[in-house]
Amino acid sequence: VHGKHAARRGRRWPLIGAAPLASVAALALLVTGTTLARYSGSETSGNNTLTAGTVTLTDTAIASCPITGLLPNAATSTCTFSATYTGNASAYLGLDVLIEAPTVTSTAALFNPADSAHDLIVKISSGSPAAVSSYALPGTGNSVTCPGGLPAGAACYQLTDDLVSTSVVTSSTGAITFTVAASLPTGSSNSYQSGTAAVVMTVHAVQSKNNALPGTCTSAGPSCPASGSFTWS
Amino acid sequence: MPSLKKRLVLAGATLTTVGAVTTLIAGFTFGLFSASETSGTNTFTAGTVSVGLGTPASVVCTVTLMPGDSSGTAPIGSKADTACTYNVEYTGTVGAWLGVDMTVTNGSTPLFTSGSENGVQFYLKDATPTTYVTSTAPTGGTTYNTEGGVATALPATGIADLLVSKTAATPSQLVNFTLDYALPSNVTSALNGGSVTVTLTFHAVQSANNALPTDCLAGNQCLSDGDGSTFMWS
Repeated sequence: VHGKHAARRGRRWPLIGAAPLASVAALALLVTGTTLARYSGSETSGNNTLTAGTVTLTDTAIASCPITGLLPNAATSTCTFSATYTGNASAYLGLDVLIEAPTVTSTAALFNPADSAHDLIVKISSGSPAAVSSYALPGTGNSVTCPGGLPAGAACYQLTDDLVSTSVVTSSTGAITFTVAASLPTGSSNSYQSGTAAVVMTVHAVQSKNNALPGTCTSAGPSCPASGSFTWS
Repeated sequence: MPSLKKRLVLAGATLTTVGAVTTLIAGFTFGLFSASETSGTNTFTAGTVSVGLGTPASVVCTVTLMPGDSSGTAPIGSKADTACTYNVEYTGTVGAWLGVDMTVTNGSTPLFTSGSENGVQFYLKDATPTTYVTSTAPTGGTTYNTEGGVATALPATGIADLLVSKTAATPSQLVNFTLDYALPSNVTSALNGGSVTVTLTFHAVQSANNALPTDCLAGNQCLSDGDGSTFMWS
């Protein structure tokens, strides 16, 4: 009887020893299971860099020329400003002209397109490298709401998008100088006496690539409004 | 006489014994006929999973874009610019799953905005053709497909683990990626001078003992442990 018990005890040891071993093996599998790596490899391309071109105007792209003290003697008062295109993409330039005129009397402002024989005479030109002898000016049909800050009743007229050049400009084009010449005709009437005005000019640029000028814009000076696929912004 | 006889008998017995011992000893030194056969050398070599550059040479783009510009096969724009290409080869010796990561890094003025048509758009495909990334611009932004196949805005930093094929790659298999781009004509001027850099990373992992998740499709993202599987990219 003792011998049988001894034999049973002797067989039990391996069983008792196997349990921890199995646990260790299972743990090892569990641990290594999360760290096993698959064979893999990789290859990386070069850097593909896409950069948007720039369309930028520096210098004075917006200028206001005040007009005061004119007499009806056709003597001109001039005002100049320059704009320089510095973008790295080629562009077309446009000129917006806003003429602000506080009313002198209850019926007349110094700039009055409906009375072209007597009111303010304005001429805007530019020199090389974009020589234009005369830019188009706003007329009777171009009356707009005046910006804030002007006296009540002031008259404002604006014409946008005068084409500065049919050729594109680049950063190497250089500064373009605009000149405003203002005068009163000798036949001007007293109703314009003491009148003042301001000519506000804004030069703007738009990319020329993917933006061809419309066929109607064949010369510099006149307004060249957005048309077809052409747009100023 | 009897004593002589006894001695002779003893001598004979001794000789017999010596002879028997001698025979016994000699028996251990006799050669036996035998023959043997050796197996061939059993060599165990690990397979390789590796990738490299393929052909033709890849085109790395350095492009200045204007609104309305786009590359060759972009669905919108001028299509006048050269697309970026990335030609790679699976150079391993065993079957493998191939994947591609697309990393997007904006410059100081961002040119790419996730989910927006107001910025550069990307179109990534291969020659199969499998589409990985596309765009609905000008009405929507750049998208990729999730592992479940849902079109989702390409994150601002790009996307990883886009599956090349549900069929395991074989040695020397070429993959020719084309990255087209477009800058829609109606983007805002806020992008003036913006920039973005895109890099593609081609990678492979063994296909043996590494089954794909069931919902992984070519061109879509395919994630490690995706769909509850044990699939891993590395």
